[in-house]
Amino acid sequence: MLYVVIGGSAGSFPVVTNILSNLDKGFPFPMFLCLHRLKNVRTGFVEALRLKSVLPISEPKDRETIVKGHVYLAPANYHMYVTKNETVSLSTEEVVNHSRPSIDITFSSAAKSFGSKCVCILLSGANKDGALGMKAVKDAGGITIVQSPEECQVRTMTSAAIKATEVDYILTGDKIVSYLQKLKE
Amino acid sequence: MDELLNITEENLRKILTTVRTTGSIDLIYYEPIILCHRIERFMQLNGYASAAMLVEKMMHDKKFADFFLERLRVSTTEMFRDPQMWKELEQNVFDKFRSESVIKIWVPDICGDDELNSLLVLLEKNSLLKKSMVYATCFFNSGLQEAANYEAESKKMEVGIDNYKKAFPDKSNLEDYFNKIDKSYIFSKKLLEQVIFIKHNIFTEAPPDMGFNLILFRNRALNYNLQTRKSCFERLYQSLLPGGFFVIGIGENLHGLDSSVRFMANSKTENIFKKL
Repeated sequence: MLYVVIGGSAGSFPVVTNILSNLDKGFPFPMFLCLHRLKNVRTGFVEALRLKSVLPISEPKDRETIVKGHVYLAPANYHMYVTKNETVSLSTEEVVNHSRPSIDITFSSAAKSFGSKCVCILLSGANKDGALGMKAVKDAGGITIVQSPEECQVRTMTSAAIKATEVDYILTGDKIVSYLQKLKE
Repeated sequence: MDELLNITEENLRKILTTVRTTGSIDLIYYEPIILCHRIERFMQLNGYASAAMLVEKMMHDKKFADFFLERLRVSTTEMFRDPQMWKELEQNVFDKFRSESVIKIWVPDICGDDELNSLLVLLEKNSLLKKSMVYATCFFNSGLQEAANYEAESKKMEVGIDNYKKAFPDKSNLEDYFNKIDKSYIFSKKLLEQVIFIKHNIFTEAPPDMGFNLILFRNRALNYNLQTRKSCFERLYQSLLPGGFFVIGIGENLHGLDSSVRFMANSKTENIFKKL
């Protein structure tokens, strides 16, 4: 079992939809999306992703059980943790890197809960959120992938991660899709 | 923050054991992964490089143990968080309170407390505050004092005003319930007069009263472990009047409760429930 965890902010939406629309319906792992979003806009985002996604996608409720092949989108104004009990926990803790949900929180909880079973992907974005979480995943033995900064609409986030961690792969959006498609093999 | 600390399970156990003997409240009730993050954050902000240093300090300084525990608490983030919920509370719940002679409301485990103040503003706006008995409870005296002397700095106030306007785009203004002194907004003492502040341990003590018309408990149980969340929800249910309302956070649910706990959704999207 692997756990795919993806973080992104400004400019990540087209990459995320590219991923969601090109995976097999039988993708055998759970996927967690922590994408920066407006706190008071609760509807529209998951619906927009659902239109593109071949996999079922939802905003989890607190303590929701993790299911293989399901995509979990961090809800607006909540941090999203993943736990060893194979559940999702939500939190209203302070913003981290001006963000709630914070990618650092989701990534570091994945590192703590699933260690080397994590595949952690960081996409385009305009602040440093995710860099330390990615380091935590790397330190825990997980796979770390960063979208090529040259391709990012905003490269601050991916550049910060590359600076903080010796990431395993720096890939374009299309190559990230190919990597995930081959993951089940 | 240049480096994430990483509390191991063994270190967490040591901290829990130390707190049990030196602190005023047990951490066993909290959700471990959130608790770990809270502890790591505390250590970063207060310059503790290792769990051993933290344990050592707590062993020799009882006051420090409680300072540590207070800092682990999670605040309610902002006034009028989730504006639509407040709008529905006014339209669907407060309307039913108009015929009551006394309205008993409980806001348990306060921290901050933006929820309490938002509630008081809404009661006052609807001319219901004078006949309300609002219980606000918290284990820490400092938490009660903080709520009783609530003040918001400009940025926090801006967030509250923005939320309030989204919920109530009429002529009323959130600033009307505050006194502005320099850059701070001091919450109206007149509104706080209707509040009964009580030191209360939600994990171990019976409710401060029974027969509540409304319990506002949004996002507090996110921080508790699954078993504690269940027992708290069930205890709160018992303290509600039949037909009383129970409000939890948008990201929460009532799954896994005892079959004797029977709620009907008053608002599915805003998580407002009515006791059957």
